[in-house]
Amino acid sequence: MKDFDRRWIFLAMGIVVVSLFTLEKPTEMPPSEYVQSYYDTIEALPEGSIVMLSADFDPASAAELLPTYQATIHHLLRRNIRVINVATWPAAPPYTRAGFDEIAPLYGKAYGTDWVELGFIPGDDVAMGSIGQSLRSAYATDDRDSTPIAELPLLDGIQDRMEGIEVLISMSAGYPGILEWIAQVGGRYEVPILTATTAVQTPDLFAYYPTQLSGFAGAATGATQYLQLVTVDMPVAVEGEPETLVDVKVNNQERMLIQAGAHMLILLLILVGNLLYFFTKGSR
Amino acid sequence: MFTSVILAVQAAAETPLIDVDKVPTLVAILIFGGLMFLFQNQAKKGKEIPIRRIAGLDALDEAIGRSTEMGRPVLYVPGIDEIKEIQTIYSMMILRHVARKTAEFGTPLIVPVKDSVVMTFAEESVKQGCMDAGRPDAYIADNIRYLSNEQFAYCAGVAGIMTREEPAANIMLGMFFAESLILAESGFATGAIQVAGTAKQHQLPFFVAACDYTIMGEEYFAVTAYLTREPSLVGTIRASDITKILAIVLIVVGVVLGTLYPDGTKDDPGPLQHFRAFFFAEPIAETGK
Amino acid sequence: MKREIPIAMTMLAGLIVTAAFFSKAPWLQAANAELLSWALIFFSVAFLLGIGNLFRINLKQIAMRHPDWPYKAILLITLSGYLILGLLEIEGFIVYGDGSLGNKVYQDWIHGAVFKPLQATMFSLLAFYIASAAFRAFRARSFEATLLLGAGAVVMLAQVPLPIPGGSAIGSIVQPMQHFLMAFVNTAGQKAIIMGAALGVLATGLRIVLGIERSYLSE
Repeated sequence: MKDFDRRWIFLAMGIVVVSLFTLEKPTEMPPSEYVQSYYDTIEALPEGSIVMLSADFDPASAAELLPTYQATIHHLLRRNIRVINVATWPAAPPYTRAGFDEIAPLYGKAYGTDWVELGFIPGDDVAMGSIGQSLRSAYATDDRDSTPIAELPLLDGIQDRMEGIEVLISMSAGYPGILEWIAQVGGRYEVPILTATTAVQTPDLFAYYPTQLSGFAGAATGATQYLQLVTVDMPVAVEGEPETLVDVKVNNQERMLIQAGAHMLILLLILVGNLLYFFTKGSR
Repeated sequence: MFTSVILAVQAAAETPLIDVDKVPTLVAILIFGGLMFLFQNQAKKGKEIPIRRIAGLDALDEAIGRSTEMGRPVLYVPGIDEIKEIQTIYSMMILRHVARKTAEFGTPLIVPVKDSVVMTFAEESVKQGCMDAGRPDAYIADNIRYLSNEQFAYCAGVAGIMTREEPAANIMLGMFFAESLILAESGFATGAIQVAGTAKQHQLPFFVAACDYTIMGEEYFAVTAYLTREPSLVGTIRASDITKILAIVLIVVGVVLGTLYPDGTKDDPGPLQHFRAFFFAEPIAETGK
Repeated sequence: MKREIPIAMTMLAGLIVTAAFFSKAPWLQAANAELLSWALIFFSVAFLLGIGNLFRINLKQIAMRHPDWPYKAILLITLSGYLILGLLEIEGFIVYGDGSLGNKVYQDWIHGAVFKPLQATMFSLLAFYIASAAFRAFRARSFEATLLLGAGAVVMLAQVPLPIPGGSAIGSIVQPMQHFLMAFVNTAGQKAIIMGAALGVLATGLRIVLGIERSYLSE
């Protein structure tokens, strides 16, 4: 079996993914306790409260995290919650700019009072510690047009040590991400934390829920469940119209089938691999 | 226990000096620090503190030996984090040991790095390792390579080195993320012997699946103590173990109390609540019936 | 002195940051905030150091006509080009078609057209490599390995809707099993590993702050 050319496996995976991609069959996913808790925590916030939304991801993980990111922006703005955007990954701010430019006008929100973009800050967990200790020391200007942060009305009520911020939400693709936010901010100041993470990080989160983490949407499955909750009251998608959050939900629901196909192929490969292993062991 | 003493002292002072919620953490750190000094001193005085065999570490020498026999280089990947990460610091210590071995055998050692500061440290570690072996001439500056600060560009760069220069041993020790499997699989495809180690638990399954030897979790922090047998490091390992035993005792007592007395009454909140209040400074909640 | 000053600085900074975790005293908090600001400046300067290193090594190799020198030239041209473009845009030297300036139109275009697809492609390779690694490595060699295989299969099946006959029936069996595995077995294991690793980190942290561990000074 050592001589087996693994490109056959790559080909099989490619065929499974591409063929299921063309099926376009959306599948409903019942929300898990953790995703429901993510949704309920945002629902329970009073109107006008301020949330810090940290974009800790890049294009590599956008397939898993961008749908939850967009849905979270919709959810927050729809509920008239104000948003301070930060980013600890350098490739994340373009997603913040694009997201708010597209979504904020739908809810009649204005930059500076309803949301601000403070942009990327280098320093990983040290930067997170600095944001927690004093947002005003960590940032001098915003990322949109270099306005001094003292001139942003949204930040008027924000004090050091996260005072004035009701919830911290991290779109976390790895390091630095949710575990560092928990250590640097959650462990020091009294602010509830929510997160959406990539699949590989999700098993880590169970150890922190519900005391240090109030809810989480893990991987594409969690994203699909959350999208279903957020889009309950939204109008059905219309073909030919610009993409809405409902389209994003349907895309995600369709992707669940692709993921199912990939999972089943991997299980099949493990089974075949084991059969070959026992067969060759027996023949020796 | 400790909290009440602190509260009494602070009542006298005007501004609170210590955050009461964090007293249990402080006490735990002080106990750990005390144990660390105790066992370090014992080890320095010559007391034997055994460390169990770690197969992955014994494999390091085997991997370097194999590279030498085949006349091919050794590739050392120190993870992708910065120098402030403890795992990267440890990786630099192990790099020095690896550099000493490769210098002794006259085998080239390639170290690709993702961070500029780590590069400076890697250069120093390799230089020191070559000097330890008495072969300062074995240090080749061009073999410590800064590839990119971008995760997947770095990953592609390392995979390129694996394919083009075909090292016979790939040693991957440090903090790894999503690139772990890509690196390990690329290395497997070239037929290299692979030793990997990290304390990042969610990357461990990938290394276990694709590498010949894996150093896992806290084993990683025992590496330098194991390789050097330096008394202060061995003492630290013993202190960690004793602290772990203390933690296990507290957990078991908590579980037993929680199982036997799940609810107290309003007048008497029950032994579990008292236990939590005593050791963890948690306020006694009125959960009783 | 070359050794003592860095050790003293490390101790002082480490002790202030640690003390600020345990105390809300305003003077400690202010000192902590100041140190964190310095750290952020060092991080930014480290980027410059990285760029310097990259130029030093690659220019040398281009000059020596290393076999891969054209790639190294492309690297330096791309790096300088994106940096200069970014600076020009931010400083308002580029006027866009609608007369506006000071935005990040071209930077965002490069991000979307070049960086995004390249990075997403690299990450997507994982799907293929996971399949190959699963085929080669996951063997029921022992009792523990068989348990691991079984748990993995349950979690993978429960994570997605199963597009096969009887899929929903299988789902209703494996989903409670998955919940048990993730919420209890996984959590217990995770917590144990986290505690072990945290003690390792704490030990090294203490050793560095107290000046026992000096390998970062190449000792």
